[in-house]
Amino acid sequence: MDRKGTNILLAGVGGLGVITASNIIGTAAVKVGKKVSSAEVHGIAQRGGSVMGTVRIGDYSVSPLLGDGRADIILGFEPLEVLRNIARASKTTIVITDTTPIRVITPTRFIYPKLEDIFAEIQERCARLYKIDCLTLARKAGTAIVRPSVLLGALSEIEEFPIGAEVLLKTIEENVPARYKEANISAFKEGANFIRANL
Amino acid sequence: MEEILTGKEGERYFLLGNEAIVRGALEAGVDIAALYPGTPMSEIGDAFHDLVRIVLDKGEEPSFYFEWSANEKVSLDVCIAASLSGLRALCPMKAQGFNVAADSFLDYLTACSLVETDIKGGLVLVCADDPGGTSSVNEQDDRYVSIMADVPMLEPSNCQEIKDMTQKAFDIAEEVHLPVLLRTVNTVNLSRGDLVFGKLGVPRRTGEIKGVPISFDRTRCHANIMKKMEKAKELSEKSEFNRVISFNGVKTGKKIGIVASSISISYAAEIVRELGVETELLALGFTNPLPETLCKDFIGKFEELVIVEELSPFLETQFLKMAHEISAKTKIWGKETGHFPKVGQYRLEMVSEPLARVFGMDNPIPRQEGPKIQLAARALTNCPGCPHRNTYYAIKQMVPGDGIFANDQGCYLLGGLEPYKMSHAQYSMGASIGLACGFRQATGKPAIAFIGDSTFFHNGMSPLANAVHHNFDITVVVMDNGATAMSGFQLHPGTDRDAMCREAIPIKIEDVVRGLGATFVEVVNPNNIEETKEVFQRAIAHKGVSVVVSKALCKLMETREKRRQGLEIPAYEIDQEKCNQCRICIDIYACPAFYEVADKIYIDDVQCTGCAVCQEVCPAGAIQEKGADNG
Repeated sequence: MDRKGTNILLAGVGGLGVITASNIIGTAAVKVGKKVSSAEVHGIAQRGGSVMGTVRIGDYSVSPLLGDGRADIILGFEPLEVLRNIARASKTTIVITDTTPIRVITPTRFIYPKLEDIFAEIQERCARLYKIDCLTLARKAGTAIVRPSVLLGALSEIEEFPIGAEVLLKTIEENVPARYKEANISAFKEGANFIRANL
Repeated sequence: MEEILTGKEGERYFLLGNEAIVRGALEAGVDIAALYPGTPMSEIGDAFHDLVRIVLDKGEEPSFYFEWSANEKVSLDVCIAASLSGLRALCPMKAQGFNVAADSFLDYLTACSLVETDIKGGLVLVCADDPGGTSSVNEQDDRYVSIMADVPMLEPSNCQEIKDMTQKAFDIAEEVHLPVLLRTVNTVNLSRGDLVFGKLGVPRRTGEIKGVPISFDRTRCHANIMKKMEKAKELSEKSEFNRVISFNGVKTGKKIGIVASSISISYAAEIVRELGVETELLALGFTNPLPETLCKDFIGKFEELVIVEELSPFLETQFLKMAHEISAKTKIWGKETGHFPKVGQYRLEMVSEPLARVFGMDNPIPRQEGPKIQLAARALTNCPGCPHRNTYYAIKQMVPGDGIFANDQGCYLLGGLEPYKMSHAQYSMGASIGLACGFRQATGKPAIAFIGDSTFFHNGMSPLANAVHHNFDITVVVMDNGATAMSGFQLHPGTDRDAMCREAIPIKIEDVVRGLGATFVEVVNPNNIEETKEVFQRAIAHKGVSVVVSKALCKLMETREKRRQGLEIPAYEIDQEKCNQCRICIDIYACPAFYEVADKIYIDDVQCTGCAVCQEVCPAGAIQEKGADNG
């Protein structure tokens, strides 16, 4: 029995698809017969606030939240939000992140740090860091809305991720609006290709 | 979503805790469900509503009636009537929603406690608490409701249990003849997990009510409730939801046991596995009345007990009492001994450190260092394009400097934060209007109440009647965005459809306000700032109650609908040549689509919703359309 399981942390801001992606990973995990607990942590604003999700996949039930240092994979929807959750990472953590910042500073005059500083600190705290320009790849696939599928495609190529790429893609197809299905499939492939080219 | 209805017995699904409640209710054959939405339990209603749509799309009739009620008291009264008529009814509410429903709940218990008016159909109240108060005004611990009202209480710890307990709660209610409180916490409501479905129940569909005898013998009613709770205690004693879990591992010097309920069961179990110690965990799911024999036997087995529970020492107090009753020498560690906090939502690390300390081990999940770079929190603010921002932007320029603002519960309460800061008080649904009257009376200063459309129907009409009747010189701004937006765009009495997807009568707020006798009533579109400013100028100058209905659809809903229809959303940009760095857009108007790099201001085209109101705000005319964007 796999006592440890796989802990995935998803970090982003409201409106970028953290919750959608968590649900797709969890649904796919149940399809392959795994136990799953998943949580979402966010504030009261509908958009723009920090959002953190967890998906814990294994052979027995665990709590939905994740302890410090216990993330095996971090899926970043926004670079600064990955750094905000960096206490959950360890030296064995794999980080895949969208490079597109949400620079919103209103109304507190919060100055967004330099992207290279953010990536340097993430790199220092984890085993491997994959930086993907998901916005560009999603637009190439059809529309910016399908950004989460770029990250999910990338995730499917990571050896430590316990669900096959076909199951994950099929789950996406079943759970997105019909009008965005093709764009999601293309985006997934863009993400997978990126990892294959950068392994 | 469809699987909640179509999923078969024995099949395994991945559901949100709130969705699992709906499946549990359907497995119990629920006839009626009614609720007013509120985090962390709104998705219970969303799921019922979606199921109605799915069933109707197939050309079938739903097996249940569901409504978005105007408030929690109404929803409970609807459910109580169903129960008195012999039907099964589910009434979910957030912790603070219980306060609204408490009037009916606590009073009805007396009315239904005669043998002749016993509960015929199971009535289950879901009280969803919000430890940490992320989406609520406080950390109210509704477990005490079960003691105050004397009703049985169940507390699920995961997705499987939340479904199983919901289903079972109806049976318990009918066996004991009392309503059952299913008390949940945010982490359970909003977690997803895998669960195995049971069989769908068969609804009774049509109820029947015979004459209801009224008794004024309050002590007899009270005594009957006590008798029913004796029966509930027997059920708790043999309930499968109260069980002892044994862990094998390293023997520690002392015999230490753990008691936990709700989400804390999963934290305690996980940390015990991490510690690798031999111990026993008394996992309590039927928590009022507690299974006294089981608890006392458990206390007697150990030299030390650790009690793990979020918020107040609800279990701990009762365990201290039980230990005293059996003269046990057992040391009880918990909140009263300072091991665990009484405030805040628990995280694994908060349970890990004290548990490890009691077992004399190293903390298996020590806190890790945060980022070195200083990261400010992303400020709470209304969404890009939100009409509420435009209302605040307009009124802020019209109101005298000594104006006092009473705010209310909804997205618009964010207007109380930087940079608008237009709230001297806000706490409960509908309080703004009474507050404005009180502030006006107490200070003699101009007083303005901000209230949303759904909140107005919830609890805003009585205070407005009060204000009009007493001719208070206040301004009431009803910020009507066409939905109960903050909890997820649910329908309310102002919308033209109801939860059963039937045509509904949309009640116009301006009509209600005029009906209540207000003479100054204006409807304005806040996305037109100059026009809105002019209306506010007149409203504030008006002597007596002035009401402004500031009406524009929630931007998130509008954008979604545009996307669904395949309409293009225009993008905007700042002409850096024309921009004179006055900073009105970013500092005063403060739409979160603006950002700054090296003293220059830009528009984030993913955040921007294309509302173009900032064009009216920019005095330099520097904001221009960029051309269509497909994202």
